[in-house]
Amino acid sequence: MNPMPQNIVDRDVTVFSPVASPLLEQAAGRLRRQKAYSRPLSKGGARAAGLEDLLQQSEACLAALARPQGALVTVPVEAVSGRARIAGRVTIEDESLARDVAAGGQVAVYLLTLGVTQSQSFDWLKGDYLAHHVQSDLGSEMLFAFARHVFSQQRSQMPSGARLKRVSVQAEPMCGQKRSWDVDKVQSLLGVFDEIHSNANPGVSVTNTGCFQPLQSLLGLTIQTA
Amino acid sequence: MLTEEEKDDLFEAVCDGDRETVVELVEKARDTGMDLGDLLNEAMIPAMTEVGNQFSAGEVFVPEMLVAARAMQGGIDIIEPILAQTDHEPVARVCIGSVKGDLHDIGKNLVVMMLKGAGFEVEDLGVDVPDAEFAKAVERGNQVVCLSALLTTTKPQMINVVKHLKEEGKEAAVVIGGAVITQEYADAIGADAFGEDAPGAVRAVKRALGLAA
Repeated sequence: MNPMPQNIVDRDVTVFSPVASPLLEQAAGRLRRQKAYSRPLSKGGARAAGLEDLLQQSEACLAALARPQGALVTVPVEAVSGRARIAGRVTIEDESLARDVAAGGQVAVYLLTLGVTQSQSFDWLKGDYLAHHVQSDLGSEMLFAFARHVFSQQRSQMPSGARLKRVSVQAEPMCGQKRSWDVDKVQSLLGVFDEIHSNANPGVSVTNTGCFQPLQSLLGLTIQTA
Repeated sequence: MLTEEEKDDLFEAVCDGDRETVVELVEKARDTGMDLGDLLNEAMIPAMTEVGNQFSAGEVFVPEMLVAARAMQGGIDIIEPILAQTDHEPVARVCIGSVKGDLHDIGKNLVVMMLKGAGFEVEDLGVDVPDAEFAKAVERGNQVVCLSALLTTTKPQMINVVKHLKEEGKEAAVVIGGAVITQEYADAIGADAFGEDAPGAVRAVKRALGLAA
């Protein structure tokens, strides 16, 4: 599978605009294996058939609307006494990041989106709340599939023995996340894609309350260490 | 008329997400002149309540609840146009929205689905809803205002809505919920009830209206 034709814009920026279908296929498989879905599906009968119908509506919706787009921008980072100043615009208290940078780690900022808003998918599904819920689950899996492929591409270009760490950047802690960022810092980091590298932003914004728009978008840092 | 056994089958069919059987039994009830309001109240709404309770108890997952709601909807699609021609009233009229600044809709949508399954008429105001829109929804006859917030940054907006409704003199119960909301917070801002999950929101709306303890 090679769903990631990528276009190197310049030496610091890689733009991704993958074909959606392989990502969707991978996401649908993973969603069906999640316990919440696999249990009713494995029981068969009317419940499984109903759920399968909702899954198929969701897949059709994302196949029609999702336009995965992303960018990975290499940025300079300064490390000063446990803090890291990213791209000359955002300073965060992160000893681990500062340590990696001091040791020569290379930092990149990634921004990935499915390019479809919740309201667009809701409209496409003709206001079907049930299918829209499943579509949201599937969209999240599709976004993660996209992210895994981007990181896999990144790893494939790293020297042998190098490691890649990831730091998710969001204004609000989601399930399993240990930390969140100040909204102003998220907005400022997002500005890397608008101001420093114009046209690198695939259409993602963040509200002053910290919501990404489209919601199914990911912003974060990768740190390549020796 | 449906026999008691068939009403039990209808209850089970909703719980099992068996839309085909639900539609078949509701059509039979319609064709034999049965009171469809009674059927809704005696078999179908209790079935969705049962599924909601199973979810709150961790016995079923969201997708199973969705499929049950889908089966329920198959029956409601037949019943609703018929009841609309009678003096049948919904349990109550409820408006719901994610507060200003919050674009998340998944939790809110689950609550919409469960409220409809419990016999409420629901006006979905969407996401990022300005305070004034909730007040206007009360003017349109909604008896309960449900507020959803997923973020700590948008949670305080609930206070503004409660204040705005009071300032405008709007008589409506306020029920709040969302990932960052607690009973303590509901008490602190003067909300009438708190829903810990989607079925819990239905119970909270009923409590706020004095329909349940």
